[in-house]
Amino acid sequence: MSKQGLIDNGADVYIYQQRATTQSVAVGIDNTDDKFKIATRSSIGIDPSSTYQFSIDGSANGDMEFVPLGSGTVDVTQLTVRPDTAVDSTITFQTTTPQSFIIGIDRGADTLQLAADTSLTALNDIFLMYSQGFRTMRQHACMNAYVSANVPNVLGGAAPAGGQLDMPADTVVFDQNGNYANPFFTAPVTGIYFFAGVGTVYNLSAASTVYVLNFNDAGIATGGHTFSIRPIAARNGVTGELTLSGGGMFFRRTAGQTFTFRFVVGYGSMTVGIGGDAAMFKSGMTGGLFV
Amino acid sequence: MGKQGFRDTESDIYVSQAITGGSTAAVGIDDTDGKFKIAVDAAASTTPSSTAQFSIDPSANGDIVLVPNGSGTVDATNVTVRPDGATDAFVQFETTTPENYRIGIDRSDSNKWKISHGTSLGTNDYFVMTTDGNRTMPLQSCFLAYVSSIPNVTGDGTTYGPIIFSSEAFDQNGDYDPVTGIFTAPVTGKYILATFVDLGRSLVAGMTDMTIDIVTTARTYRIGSINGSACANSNNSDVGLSGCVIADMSNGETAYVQCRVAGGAKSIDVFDSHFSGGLFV
Repeated sequence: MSKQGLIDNGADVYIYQQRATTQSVAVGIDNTDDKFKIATRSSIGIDPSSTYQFSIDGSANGDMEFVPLGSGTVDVTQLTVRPDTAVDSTITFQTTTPQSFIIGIDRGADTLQLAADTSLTALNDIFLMYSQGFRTMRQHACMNAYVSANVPNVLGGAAPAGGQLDMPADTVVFDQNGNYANPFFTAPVTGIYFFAGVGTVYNLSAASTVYVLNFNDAGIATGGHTFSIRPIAARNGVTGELTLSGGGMFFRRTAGQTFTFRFVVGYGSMTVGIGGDAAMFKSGMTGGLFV
Repeated sequence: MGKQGFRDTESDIYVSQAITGGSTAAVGIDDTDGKFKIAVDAAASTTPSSTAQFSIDPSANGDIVLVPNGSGTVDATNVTVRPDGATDAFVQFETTTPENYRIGIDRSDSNKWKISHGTSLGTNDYFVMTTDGNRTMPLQSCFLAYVSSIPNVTGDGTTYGPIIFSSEAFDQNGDYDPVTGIFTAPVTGKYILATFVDLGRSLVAGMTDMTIDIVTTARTYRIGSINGSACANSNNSDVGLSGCVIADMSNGETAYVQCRVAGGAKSIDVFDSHFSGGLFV
């Protein structure tokens, strides 16, 4: 039962209220787009077709808009996103760039997800929090690659540098964000990166008296040796291989700078090889963006 | 001073507006629940008792509910969560599953920014950012286990593993088993795994074959392969090797450390060694 009703066909239908000559409000339907609107101004003579602060579009799923003027904000004491139906519970951030980020609960998995997108879909998350408290970031720069077969006669050259070769890690176990191209990892953003490497050499001779696995930082003076030893004595007496690990280090990298590991076996002749194996990671590098 | 008012005790009290053939809006009080409502529909004959898009509940702290129809959205240029009282400022996500997460400022805990599971900040905190920029994740899978001595495990070519690091310094989420020496991935992700293994202290001539591996379900990572006796510390006749990898592990897959020394008797011990790891990304 309506206490009051207004019908028009060709003009805005609204209630207009005015306080003295300084403020006014118009509440009603904008005939130009059929949206229900509330418009308030510090002036008089407005209608729903004026710049409005609140609208409901009855023809578009009841979409609502809050449009503060200028740098205004919509204040809430607390905000709960609670769909009545079996859908994701989300908030979307959008700019005119355009760029969108969406955060909320992926109802199918009951995980809290962040995605650079306008909806939560399978595998588009960049930050995922499981209901047990684990966090993964499937797009975060992180890689693992190793040498899948022996690379012969590449080390053991003349002093002082000797034969040297960047880690020829040809088999990629994973490369989140796609920053690895044999033999270099390229920093996608400026940050602190963590890297660890393993190096295996074989066919060592007594003439080769230096074995170094460097952090090859492309000329940036931050790296150090992971180890530097006389290889012939240390090699495995049965396999003839020498495998040692770099324990892992943090590096600062500017976006676009590269990183890899570099083998150096000095002295003797170029008869020393880098050990690789399709089934075992015994020469390779792993790393990723830490913070 | 009101210019116009309605009063009723038995039915909706509202103003209804319509454009012929277009939208209808009803603004007023729904008599069935006492809420002030705005209902807009593309059809005619809308009342506050119809599906409302906006409502204020005077009996529940003035709660405001915005309910777009179906897959509709609520648009705002920016939204600020700004409580007037001494309470947390938060956004809460809920589903009909039901499942709840809360994101916001925990006022009672140094104003830290948190992601918490459930309906309160301070309970089941999963992601905590301090105001000076340090982030912790109290339930992220992460462990450090160690052992002081395991006697006579190899030396004769025996591959000993999993090495049982029987003491835990910490084990967030309880994914490492100090009885079996096995870490089990709780979710699919990339895990940092690191170990230091000291073998001795009776490395003797002939024990030239020494290897240490981190073994995951997917592959084996060789940490070291050396001539044990040639590299032995002259003081303790032992060798310690360390290594670290970032490994891909699916939910339920395992990781452990193994070692092997050949060329002598089964007299080689594991000493003062450790195994650590955690979910990286």
